Amino acid sequence: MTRRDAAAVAKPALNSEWIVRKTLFVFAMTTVLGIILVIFFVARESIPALRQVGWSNIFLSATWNPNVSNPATGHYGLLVPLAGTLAATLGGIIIGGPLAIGTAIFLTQIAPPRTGKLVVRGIELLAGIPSVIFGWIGLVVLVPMLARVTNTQGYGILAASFILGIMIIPTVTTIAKDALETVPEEYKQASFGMGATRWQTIYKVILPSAKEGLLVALILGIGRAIGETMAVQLVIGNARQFPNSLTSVTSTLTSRIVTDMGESTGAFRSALFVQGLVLLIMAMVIILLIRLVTRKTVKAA
Amino acid sequence: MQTDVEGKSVAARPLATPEPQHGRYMISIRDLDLFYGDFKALEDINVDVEHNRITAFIGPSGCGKSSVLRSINRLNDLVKGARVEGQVFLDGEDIYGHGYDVVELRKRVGMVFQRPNPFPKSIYDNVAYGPRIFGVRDRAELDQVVEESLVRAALWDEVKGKLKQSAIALSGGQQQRLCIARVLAVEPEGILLDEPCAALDPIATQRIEDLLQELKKTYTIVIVTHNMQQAARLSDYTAFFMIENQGDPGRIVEFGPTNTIFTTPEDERTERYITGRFG
Repeated sequence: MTRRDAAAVAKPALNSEWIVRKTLFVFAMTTVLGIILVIFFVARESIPALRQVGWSNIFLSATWNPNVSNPATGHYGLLVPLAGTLAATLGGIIIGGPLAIGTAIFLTQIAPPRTGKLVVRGIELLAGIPSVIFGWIGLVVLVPMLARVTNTQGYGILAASFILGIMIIPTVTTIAKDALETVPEEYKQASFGMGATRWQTIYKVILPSAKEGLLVALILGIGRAIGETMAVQLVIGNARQFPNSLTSVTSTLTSRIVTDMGESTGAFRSALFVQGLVLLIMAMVIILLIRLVTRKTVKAA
Repeated sequence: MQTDVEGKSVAARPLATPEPQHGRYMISIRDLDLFYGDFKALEDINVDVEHNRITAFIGPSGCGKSSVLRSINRLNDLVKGARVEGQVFLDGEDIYGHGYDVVELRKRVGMVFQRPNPFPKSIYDNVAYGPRIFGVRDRAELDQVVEESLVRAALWDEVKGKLKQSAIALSGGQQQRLCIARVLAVEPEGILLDEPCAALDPIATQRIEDLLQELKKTYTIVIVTHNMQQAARLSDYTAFFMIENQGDPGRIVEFGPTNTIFTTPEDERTERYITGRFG
């Protein structure tokens, strides 16, 4: 091999490495840039409403009465959808949380391999179902059923809670399963070795040992529930009233946005962006919570 | 003619006593075979564990010492595909017999593991774990059990001021003594120890050995160890385990008073092992 040949081989190798490195850097930066642009854009679009309608009329008001022809004179209080979001999310966690964590316990501690595999496949399938399908099933099956049972129209917080409860199962189960699997086998051995039953071992050793991970699973479930739009929009009723009972028809931040965005202009449209901004802040709070919980775990370990 | 630990001469005991003798022995293992699926891990195990003595299981790695230990309190039940043939008598009752209460068994014969495995709870809660699962709720009673167990495990003086602190913060040796205290808290009769010093430094090991010598006054102890000096120092009886060829089940080559095993073993393989020529 001559010197020129050697150089010809070596140089492209160096170049391709450089290209790969830079390309991946650009990809990574695109994500960061993307999220920065989203925050910036949503914040900027929120400003007109905050200026023209006023902070207190948005954040401290429960009146939602847009004026399509003269947007600046409408009422855009977000307390109702905020309460709706919190209520539906809470309901979703109350229904879905125990189901999901119970499933994770079953999968990691009890299920024979074949049954376990079947359940895991089922959960994967559940995760793959588009949310509009959940909403649709909610609309044609759950809502009429609830209407019969509760003697109302069937729409509202309860319907949304059920749908969200099912929808968060894959997220919560998967994370909870990982958390339970990291509990050292030695703990189980020690507990069984002293005569503890399976249930005592689960309840007194395994769950406490995995509690940070289980908390993270639930928080991620909350995050999933807060952001859910289509399925909730179809069953919540999209009313402008406060949720004061399980069967109240109300709206959530996401359902309000998706219901009204078509006809909104000016301050009206901007008020919807304020709701989007609130959702973004909630997402950040959730990430912060997870960081706090996991940091504590690292310190303990 | 052999002598037992107190120097009294006893008749040489055949490996397989046909009938378990009750009274003198707390645990009698008879013709025990252990399978993991199709693999036969142990064959023809016969051991008698005398009350208030330390019985050591020695032998090369993977020869089934720990498996025997685990079959004494039926921890192998948790292993999928594990199956036992033969009998293990606890005070004359076959623990593999139909309807035997496993919870009661594990309460009577506690287990201490190779790696110290305190729960990620406070020192207090670790020791109180057993009493609590058996229904003790009274605070004063728990306090008393915790203190007594820690005293017996020679850990009380080191931890009495910090019972509420996490057990994970203790040193390895302290953790292992805590695990012993945790077992003592359910008032067992026997303690099984699976290489309890394997993860400890010599000083921590020494403390555990001193502790076991003290504990044998009250409890019957079976210890698996890789460390032959430890077996020689500590135990009254020794069983030497071996596998003949790769894939064969583990068997007991020789079982008898420790001083006999270490000074005048009957089997040539025992002698070769204890003099360090293999394993």
